[in-house]
Amino acid sequence: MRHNIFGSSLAPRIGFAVPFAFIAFFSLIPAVATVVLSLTDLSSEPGIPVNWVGLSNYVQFFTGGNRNDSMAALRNTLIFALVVSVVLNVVALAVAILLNRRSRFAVFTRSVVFLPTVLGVTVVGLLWSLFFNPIGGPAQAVVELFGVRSSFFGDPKLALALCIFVQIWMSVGYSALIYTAGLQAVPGELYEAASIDGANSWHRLRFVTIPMIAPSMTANILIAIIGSLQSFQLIYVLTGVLNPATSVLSLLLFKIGFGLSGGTGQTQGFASAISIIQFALVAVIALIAYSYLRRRENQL
Amino acid sequence: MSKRSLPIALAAILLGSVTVAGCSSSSGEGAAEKINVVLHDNPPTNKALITMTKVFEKENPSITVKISFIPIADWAATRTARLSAKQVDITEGVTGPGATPLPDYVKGAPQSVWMKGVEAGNWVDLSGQKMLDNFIPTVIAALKIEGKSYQVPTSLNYVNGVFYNKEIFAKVGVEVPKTWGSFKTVLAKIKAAKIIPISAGGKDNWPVGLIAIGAAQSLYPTLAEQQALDKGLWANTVKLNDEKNVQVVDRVNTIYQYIDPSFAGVDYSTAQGQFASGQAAMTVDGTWAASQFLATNPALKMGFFPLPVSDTAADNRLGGKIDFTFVVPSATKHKAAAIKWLDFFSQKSNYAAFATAGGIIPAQADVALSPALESVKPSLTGEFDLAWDQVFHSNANAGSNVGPVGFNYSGLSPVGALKGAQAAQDAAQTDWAAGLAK
Repeated sequence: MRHNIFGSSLAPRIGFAVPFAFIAFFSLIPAVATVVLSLTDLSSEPGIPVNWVGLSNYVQFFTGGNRNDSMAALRNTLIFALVVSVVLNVVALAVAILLNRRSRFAVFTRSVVFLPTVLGVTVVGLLWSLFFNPIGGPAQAVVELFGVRSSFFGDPKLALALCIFVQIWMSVGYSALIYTAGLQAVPGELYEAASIDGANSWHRLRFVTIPMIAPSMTANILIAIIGSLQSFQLIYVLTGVLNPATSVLSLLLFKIGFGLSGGTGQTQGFASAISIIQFALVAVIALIAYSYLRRRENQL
Repeated sequence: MSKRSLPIALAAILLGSVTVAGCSSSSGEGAAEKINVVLHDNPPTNKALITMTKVFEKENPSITVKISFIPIADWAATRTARLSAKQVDITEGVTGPGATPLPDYVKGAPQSVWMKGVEAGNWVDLSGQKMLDNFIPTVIAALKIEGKSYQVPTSLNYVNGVFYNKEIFAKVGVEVPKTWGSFKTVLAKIKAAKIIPISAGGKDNWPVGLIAIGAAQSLYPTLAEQQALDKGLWANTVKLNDEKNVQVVDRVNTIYQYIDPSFAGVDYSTAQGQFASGQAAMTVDGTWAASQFLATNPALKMGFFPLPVSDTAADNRLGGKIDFTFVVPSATKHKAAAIKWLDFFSQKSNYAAFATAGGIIPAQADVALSPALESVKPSLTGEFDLAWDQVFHSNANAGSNVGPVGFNYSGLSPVGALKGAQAAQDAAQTDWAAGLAK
């Protein structure tokens, strides 16, 4: 008698169990462990006794000599996330609308726009580091035409803005792709009907396109918010860990976790507490945004 | 087999095969011992150690040595990860204030991770090893913890020197400055000649910290004065924004005005390149950089002098540190082989070859100075003073305005956003006071 395992009711459970085990092992257990570690004075080196310190790591984040650094990192994280999420989605939608037009070069131009996403964070970081290199970089040559010199990523007034710009440049292709998929699902008849009713371009965008791609918008905005609140690698490559102007929460916890902040040593317990604070921030903002965007989708 | 049990069996086989495959990757080592040495990246000493290790392996064919040189930016994270994975047989220890127990007057700050590790038995006690006798006794003594030695020093280095381009100095018509006043004159004349007076790597932060260390070194020129400052800060009887401490940062600020205007975004290696290629007349750097400059530009005619921040010439002295050290983790399975490699390194002839090729200030007596340090030689007095950052106990509970040296060079514009020395040190004092135990 032949057995068809795919017909068994257990088959989907087994199929689910293996990836779940991986996720539990590599994500859920470390996440729960981080909560526990944030209540200890864990050091970076193995074999050092670990002591229970209660909530003192959290108190340390909001008070004492670290307060200024913590608040600066929190402020930078929120500015970074807000600007990236808003500008990225506006630009990506505009790019998607332009690329959605029928053209012989549509596939080529979409590929070009998507290219930065394929390059990867480190390559993008190095590329823009070279572009904005104060010594011999092309950007310096341009600003020197106006009789000034800039230190770009070293300029505390400019560094965060440049990081935001590079983040948007890198992510716009991915977001535009999601918008393009949404736009291609909008029936052409709706635009025709709107035109017959006398709708101009703005009206068609506002009353046809945006309502119809609302799910894409929700997905894109949430991806942008969560991604930018956790952003780490790009800023790490562009400005390093020790630049206070671009210190975001994830960089701060790296700096503290690996003892790059001066003082007497690494405190991974404190770094774990920052990680949990960051998690709480991302969770709260993402949930509020999700709830608002879903409600708005229904209204549209 | 029932219909239900087949999928379970298949899943078990799948998981089992994954597990077996995972295990098999860590087996299969041969009989020969292989030791892993994990060090920070420094091209001149890298090369010297690789050369020495080749000779070691030839003399000890049963031992293979793999040395990993980790870029500075990734050093702390990589060392931690490799130690956790127990993939290290020799790595670097800690020098400076974190190398020994905190003094009684430091209250409310935790012991360094190094000290906690020593107390936990993480490091092999090397006391009694004959190789330690080869090193300068005061260097070994400075690293001892309760009479025990855990670290093998590699070198000493001075941190507050100024390398200068002799040809540019001659062209502009300036002499080596001995005091703050003459230094400012030299800076102004070079700038007037449309040459960058100083290069510095502000993007990497620590290179500009050398300027702050140098300024503190000149204005607090003796060990007693530095210790009194450290003690006073911890007792809260001295403030970081007291007049003299603001003066230290004010002089750093003056020097900033003569560095390439975009230096806050320039990394260390680019700044070194600016000096080595003759684009900049001077650079503030440690003695470890001498051989790198000559490797970049063998024709470079350079000199060296202590950063003259004091108005009194005698106070402008070099300050230094015990540079990186070797330590053996207790978790090593190759302790004997690791100690053998360290012993080989410490032997007079091998060490001399390392010192020459690595361009370091030797930590062993009677070892000739590397030809790469010819420019440094005239500034050496025969005495070794610790630099300010080796005396100062910073506080992990204080913020980044205090940083590793207490003088807020990274908050000061253009590296940071604070305009002027007073604002920078006010911020440092706020962070310092908030970090002190209540």
